[in-house]
Amino acid sequence: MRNLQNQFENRQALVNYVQKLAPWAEGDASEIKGGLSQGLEKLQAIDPINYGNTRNFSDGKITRLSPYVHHGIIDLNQIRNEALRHCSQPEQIIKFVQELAWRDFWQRVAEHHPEWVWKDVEPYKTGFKPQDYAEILPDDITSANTGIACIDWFIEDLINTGYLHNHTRMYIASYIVHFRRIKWQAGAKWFLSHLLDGDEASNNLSWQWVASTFSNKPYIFNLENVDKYFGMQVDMSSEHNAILDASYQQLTELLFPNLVERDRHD
Amino acid sequence: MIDTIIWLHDKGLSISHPLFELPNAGTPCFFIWDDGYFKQRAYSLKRLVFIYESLCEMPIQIVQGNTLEIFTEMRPQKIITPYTADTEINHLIKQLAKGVAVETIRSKPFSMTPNSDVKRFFKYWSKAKKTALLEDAGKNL
Ligand SMILES: Cc1cc2nc3c(=O)[nH]c(=O)nc-3n(C[C@H](O)[C@H](O)[C@H](O)COP(=O)(O)OP(=O)(O)OC[C@H]3O[C@@H](n4cnc5c(N)ncnc54)[C@H](O)[C@@H]3O)c2cc1C
Repeated sequence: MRNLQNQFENRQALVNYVQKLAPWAEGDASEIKGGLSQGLEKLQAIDPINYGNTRNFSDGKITRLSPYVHHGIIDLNQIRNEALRHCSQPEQIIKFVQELAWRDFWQRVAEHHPEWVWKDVEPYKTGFKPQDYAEILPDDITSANTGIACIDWFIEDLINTGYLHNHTRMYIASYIVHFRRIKWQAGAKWFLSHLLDGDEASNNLSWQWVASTFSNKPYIFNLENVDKYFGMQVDMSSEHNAILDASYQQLTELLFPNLVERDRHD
Repeated sequence: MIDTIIWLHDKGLSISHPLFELPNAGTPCFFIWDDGYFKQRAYSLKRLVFIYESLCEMPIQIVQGNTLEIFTEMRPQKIITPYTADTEINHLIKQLAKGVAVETIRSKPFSMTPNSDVKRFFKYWSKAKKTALLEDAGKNL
């Protein structure tokens, strides 16, 4: 048992020290810093009233508190109490509190059913069986080289910062499971190694929600949707995002042919 | 032999957690930098740096080693640790509990909803919202 250092001249010295402790660990440090002081700064900056109408957009009033929440640095009770100070009526912050509740919900589900964290809760509602999905994540995904401009941009963000907007988590998960037909578990495991907030319950059960093994239908998206919420930031040209440039009807036919076939016979 | 110790794992990095309240105030507390645990979870450097930076802001000891071996060596009477739903940490806790009493303590509740089995969010939310929109989940009601 060895006591480790807890004071450093600067951040780079700390990063070098951690690198020496874990020479096997991949990548670089994120620009997002750990610690209570950073978490409290983000807590003081919350805007829970405007959150409701803006949270789906890339520049929406999201908090970026998740890495601090996941590590127990700041808890949901503290965030809710702070949010209440921003409003005159609790109804003004209901959407915000409801999103906090998603975390509470996923933790409860995992507590009661720890086996659901890695196993399909229900069958896929995609017309495919689990064995139709690949086990392994190909290199073009892990290296942000899928050739789909917006997806590559989001993956790079994940690799560089360890944080993703909720919407881009949904896009990447949907792309992996439905457009590439890969098991959600492979994607979830990869997210957990990168996300600073990587949390078995919130992450894996959300992947199952996208996959449809813990929801009523698969989540899919198209270029129009990405353009609406992230268009200002990303290369949205049809040329560089070809497969996504389709209607939901076209995508359903392309991605879930067995479902469409079944519907025809019903 | 040590009496009681507080063990903070990477899902409970706070010294404001209720486990520091009486009667545990003043109990020795530390974090174990367990390379095998981190490696098994394939944490990227980003995650490790985030954890280390958070630890450096806390007045606790950081020790390096294998969690189970360290506790076997220390032989405390009791280990107190923050509750988490994380399956890997709970697996570690189960192993520790074979040789020593382990008490897990929860953080302050977000809602006063009974901790019953839930499957769909909106069923849970219809009950949770009654206290989730109140300060301290309406604890003083
Ligand atoms: C595929 C996928 C993977 C995900 N993986 C994780 C994960 O590993 N860890 C994680 O904490 N969240 C995960 N989420 C949920 C959600 O995307 C993040 O909690 C949220 O984007 C974090 O950013 P924020 O702190 O700015 O959130 P805000 O929108 O500001 O919300 C505030 C807090 O509420 C909680 N929260 C908000 N939305 C959700 C949600 N949908 N589910 C659970 N908690 C929520 C978080 O603790 C968050 O910090 C995942 C979602 C998807 C679709």
